[in-house]
Parts: sequence; structure tokens; C-alpha cells
Amino acid sequence: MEDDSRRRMYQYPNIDGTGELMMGTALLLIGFAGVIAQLPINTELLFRVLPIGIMLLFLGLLWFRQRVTYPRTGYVTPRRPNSFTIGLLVLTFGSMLFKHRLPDDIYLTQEGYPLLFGAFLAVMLLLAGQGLRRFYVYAAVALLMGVGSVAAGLGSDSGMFLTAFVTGTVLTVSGSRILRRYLAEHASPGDA
Amino acid sequence: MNTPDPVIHAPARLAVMTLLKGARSADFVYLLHETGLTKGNLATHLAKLEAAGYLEVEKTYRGRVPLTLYRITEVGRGALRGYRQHLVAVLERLS
Repeated sequence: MEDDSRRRMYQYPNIDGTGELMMGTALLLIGFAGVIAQLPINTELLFRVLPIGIMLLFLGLLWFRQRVTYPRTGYVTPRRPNSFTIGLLVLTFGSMLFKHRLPDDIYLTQEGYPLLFGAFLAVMLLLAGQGLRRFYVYAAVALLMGVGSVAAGLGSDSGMFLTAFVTGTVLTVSGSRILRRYLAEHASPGDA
Repeated sequence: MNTPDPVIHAPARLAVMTLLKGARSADFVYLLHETGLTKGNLATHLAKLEAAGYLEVEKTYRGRVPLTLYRITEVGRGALRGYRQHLVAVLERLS
């Protein structure tokens, strides 16, 4: 009983699908940015605004949970930080260190980069899912897209943007369905 | 044979204590959602646990929204540990 309640506590941030919506939208933005980058226009401003857009998405997520999720199904703080937070910190610093130490002309930073990106996304999704089955599917999509992009010889940028776009689409569609179901199953306190 | 702690022994209160053991804090709505109890029933059980010193209550705000947070106390952790040891001892006698 204790293990089950602790597992549910760590899975609780995924109850409403908003985490998937946020991650999916961020990846879609990255994917669209990649498409726009192929056009013969100056995209420097776009890539400066993109991180701000992703940060605004994250703030939107926090606002939404405050206004919609917590009044419906409550609020909990686990006693220990979950593996997603720790894993994300380790992955972020680790990948920065890893990329910095890699030569610029090796396979993983060139043709193989979509594979690295897909693997990075897959690990992040597995950590975020905390054992939820649907996150294994998302991780598989990210990894397969990375592998497929490399196999298709798409090149590092195109492959990365396509991996982001497809994974983002899957996350956004799935997150929307979960959110719709969540809102249907849990009345707001005002409706009760 | 020693009797189990009657405060924790009730299934609803055991469920609440088990939930709060793994949490730094949880609000009333979360406990309501996880236990499946009615509001009145849960409030009664939380009051009993608080009266026994096993829970502490914090009334605060998140922005402008009022929030009632529950935390298990060290006394509560000790009582839950004692209850678990009692159950283990009973199961060992049965086997």
C-alpha cells in the first residue's frame, strides 16, 4: 500500500496531461523553428525568442495547475525530490559537458546528432513518466524518430527538427485527450 | 497480545497516514481524491489524527487561494512504525 501511494504521488503531476501538452508544444515550436530556418530569411531573432516562448509555456503550465488542477484533485509535495528532477539536472549538465568535450567533427555531433537528441528526449520522457505506461510509448517514438532520421540520412539539423516535430505532435495530441478526460471526470469545486 | 493503536487501526486513518508518510505535505482535496472518502468523513478522521498529535495542520494561501496543508508529525511517524511492527509480529505468529 505504501509503495503504491508513493508511486501515485510521483505520478501525480501527470494526472491532467498538461505536462505532456507543455512538452509537446515546446517540441512543436522547436520543430517549426527548424522549418522556418530553412527559408531564406533572417532567423536570428526567432532562435532568440524561442527559449523565451518555452519559458512562457512553463509558466503557463504552473498557472494552469494552480487554477484548474489543484482545486480539482488537490496538491501534494513528495518528501523527496523525484527522479525526474534529479535526472533532468544530471542530464542537462551532463549533456552540456558531454557536447563541450566532443570534437565538432565526429559522428554524434554531425550525422548522428538526431540519434543523440532522440535518446536524450527518450530518457527525459521516461524520467517524467515515473513508470506510467504511455510515457514508454512516447520515449519509443522519440528514439525511433532519432534512429529513423539518421537511417534516412536527413542530416543533423533536419533530423533533430523532425524528431522534435513528430514527438511533439504525439505528446500534444495525447496530452489534449488526457486533459479532456481529466476535466470530464473531475468537476471543479464551483460545479460540485 | 498487545492491541494495535486504535487511532491508526481504522482503515481510513491508516490510508491517510500512509499517504502522508511519503509526503512533505498534502492538502485536503488531495487526501479526499486519494482516499475516496466523503468530505465529512475525511474531516472527522483528520480531526482524530490531529487530536492524537499524529498530524499537524497549516492554513496558508497559494496566491489568493486558501490552502489547508496536512503533515505527519514525528509522533505520528513513530506511531505508524509501531503499528507496522505490531502487524509484522501478528503475521509472524500466524505463520
